[in-house]
Amino acid sequence: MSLLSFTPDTDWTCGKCGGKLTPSPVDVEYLGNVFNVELLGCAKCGLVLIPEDLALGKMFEVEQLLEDK
Amino acid sequence: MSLDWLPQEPGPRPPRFERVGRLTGGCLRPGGLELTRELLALGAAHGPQPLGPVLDLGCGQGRSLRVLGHELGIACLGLDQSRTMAEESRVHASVPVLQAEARRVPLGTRSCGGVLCECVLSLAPAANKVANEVVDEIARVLRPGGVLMVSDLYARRHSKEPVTAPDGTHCCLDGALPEEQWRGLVESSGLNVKLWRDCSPALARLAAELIFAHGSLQDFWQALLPPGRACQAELRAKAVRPGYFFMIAKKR
Repeated sequence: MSLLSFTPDTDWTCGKCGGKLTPSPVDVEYLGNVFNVELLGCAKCGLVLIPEDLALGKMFEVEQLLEDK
Repeated sequence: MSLDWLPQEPGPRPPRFERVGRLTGGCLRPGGLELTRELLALGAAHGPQPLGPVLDLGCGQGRSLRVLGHELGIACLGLDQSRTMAEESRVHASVPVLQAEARRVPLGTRSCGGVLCECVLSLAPAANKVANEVVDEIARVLRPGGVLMVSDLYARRHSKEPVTAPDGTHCCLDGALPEEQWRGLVESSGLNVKLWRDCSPALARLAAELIFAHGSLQDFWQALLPPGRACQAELRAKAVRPGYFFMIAKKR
């Protein structure tokens, strides 16, 4: 599966260390399923930004699907 | 009378299939080739020795044929209703590929040790008995002891929703029958079901990947299906809670 990218243009910096945010490959896991996505991450400390619309949109829909309710 | 139960797509495949194909390594089904290998191993365990020749019914681009012929060294051939798919799979798999309808397989009676059907039978409308005709034809070409190896969608919940859209078209969700109907369909053609296995996690995973790629399942259906069918597919999915299964059935 090709890498899915969720890296909006932003001038935000890392809230933990002030580092620059750059597109970074991330493994997102839920209920044993791992998805390779690209998110903005801090090059210095590794903190990852999950945009709110991603968390409340696609990720929420995926969680519901995988929970199979 | 020729019943066009598969979309006739002259020329290259439409972009919507390519989008799904990119997520599944070229296969238009959950689990990709990993599940194909697992299904073939189960078929080999229950089937005759040697298993070949194996007919890949609805072979598409020939990716499973390549696994059969090149990886596993099993004599095999493909069949697809689409001229484009038949040509692509001949090139990709370098094995004979026939262009024909699954209801009229141009092979001799009792000529195959195995028939592979991956996400094909759900495309044959059960309501007007096309699915019965296809399974009868599979039973005809299998030799005694030969095996039908199926992976496909099934309905985990019964629904009274109509199985055909008002415009008469049919998509794979429409053909997702409950388990007992799949078993009945196969056994009424003289095949004994030896194994039924739920593989729904593979379907859930594909659906999740489609949500990440398309934004939502609604967007995916709109990208995949002709206009007007997407809403029907969504309703049907909610009504039947589709799952994915393996089935091995043996000819007496």
